[in-house]
Amino acid sequence: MNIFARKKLVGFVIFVAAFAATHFLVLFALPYIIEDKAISLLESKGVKFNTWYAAPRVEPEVQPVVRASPDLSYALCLIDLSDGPMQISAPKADNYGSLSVFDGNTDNAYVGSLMGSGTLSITVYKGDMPTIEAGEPVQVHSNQVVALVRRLAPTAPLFEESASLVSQSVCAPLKQ
Amino acid sequence: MRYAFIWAACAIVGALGGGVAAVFYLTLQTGVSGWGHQVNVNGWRSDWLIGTEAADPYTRAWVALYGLFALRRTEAVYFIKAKDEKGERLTEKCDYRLETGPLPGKWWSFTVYDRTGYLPKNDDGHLTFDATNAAASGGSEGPWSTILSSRQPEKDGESWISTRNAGSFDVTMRIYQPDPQFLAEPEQHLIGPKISKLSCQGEAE
Repeated sequence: MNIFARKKLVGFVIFVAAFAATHFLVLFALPYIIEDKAISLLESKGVKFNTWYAAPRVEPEVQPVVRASPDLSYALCLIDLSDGPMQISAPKADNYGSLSVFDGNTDNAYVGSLMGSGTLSITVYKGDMPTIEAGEPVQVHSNQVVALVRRLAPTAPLFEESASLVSQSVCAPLKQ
Repeated sequence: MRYAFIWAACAIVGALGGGVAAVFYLTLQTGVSGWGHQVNVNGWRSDWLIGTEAADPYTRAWVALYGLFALRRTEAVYFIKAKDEKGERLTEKCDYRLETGPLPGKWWSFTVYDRTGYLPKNDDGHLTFDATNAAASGGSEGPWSTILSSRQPEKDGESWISTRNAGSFDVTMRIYQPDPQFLAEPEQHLIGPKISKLSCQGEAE
């Protein structure tokens, strides 16, 4: 191979490497950016960190995120783990429901059923597992994550019933 | 020196191309698209890795863009279909009949979303067809059907989902708390609901 062909090959390799690196960088970064933007959007609408928020019923004019289900009621807590682990709990009920936690890259770090009686409690933490736990420990990798409660609420009365359970839920720093 | 400029240009063009290709690829997708673990039952597409740490970058980016806060499959599975039984794109200009039998989970629903993943902007009050209203309208055993249309069906009391202002749309099927056998062998335990075209604007049914 002469020197000119070798230099052209180097150019091609640089092109492919730059293409692949940026391609996957965009794919990896996108979930973090979108979840961060979603959290910022919710904050701008008055949602506070470390407090449960009962979202209004999903309708064509009220869609906080893509593909929200109008059959469900949603309650969410923006969790900030900067000051340590958080205790999360929600009451169970007869109808379908779930408590889930989403990491900073949108991964569903935890999901548990809210069907039945009693209360479902978890401890969300980053880094080392806390010595004291309040329920199942859930490890995440980001400082800011999202807890979400979904409950079956296809009718207005069921939606009101589900929304009334938010006041019995906990999203607070874990007392150690 | 001349080749240093050419190599720098290769790096810049490559980097720009890689970024644009990633965004372009994602915006072209009408359903979940990843490297593996794809499930396709009669045109209803899903990815069993949604929400998990094992999800590939394409699946994770698609979920962030079009299905933020999706649950992992043990709690809920999401199927999307954007074409009718003849393989033609679903559009609000046509009416369709969606038919389904019992689905392998505790509760299920069908919802229409526009091309950007949002509910169509209309005030018809018919956004979904789910297990609750199916049981109320046609018994708990099925089969059930609903009309996808931009106008209320003439037949009194017929179940429908409004597609008004949906443009080119897709239907999302959610199955909550799916049966374990179904998760293990989805193609063997799910009969894909049918979406058949009835008529289009300007045509007789």
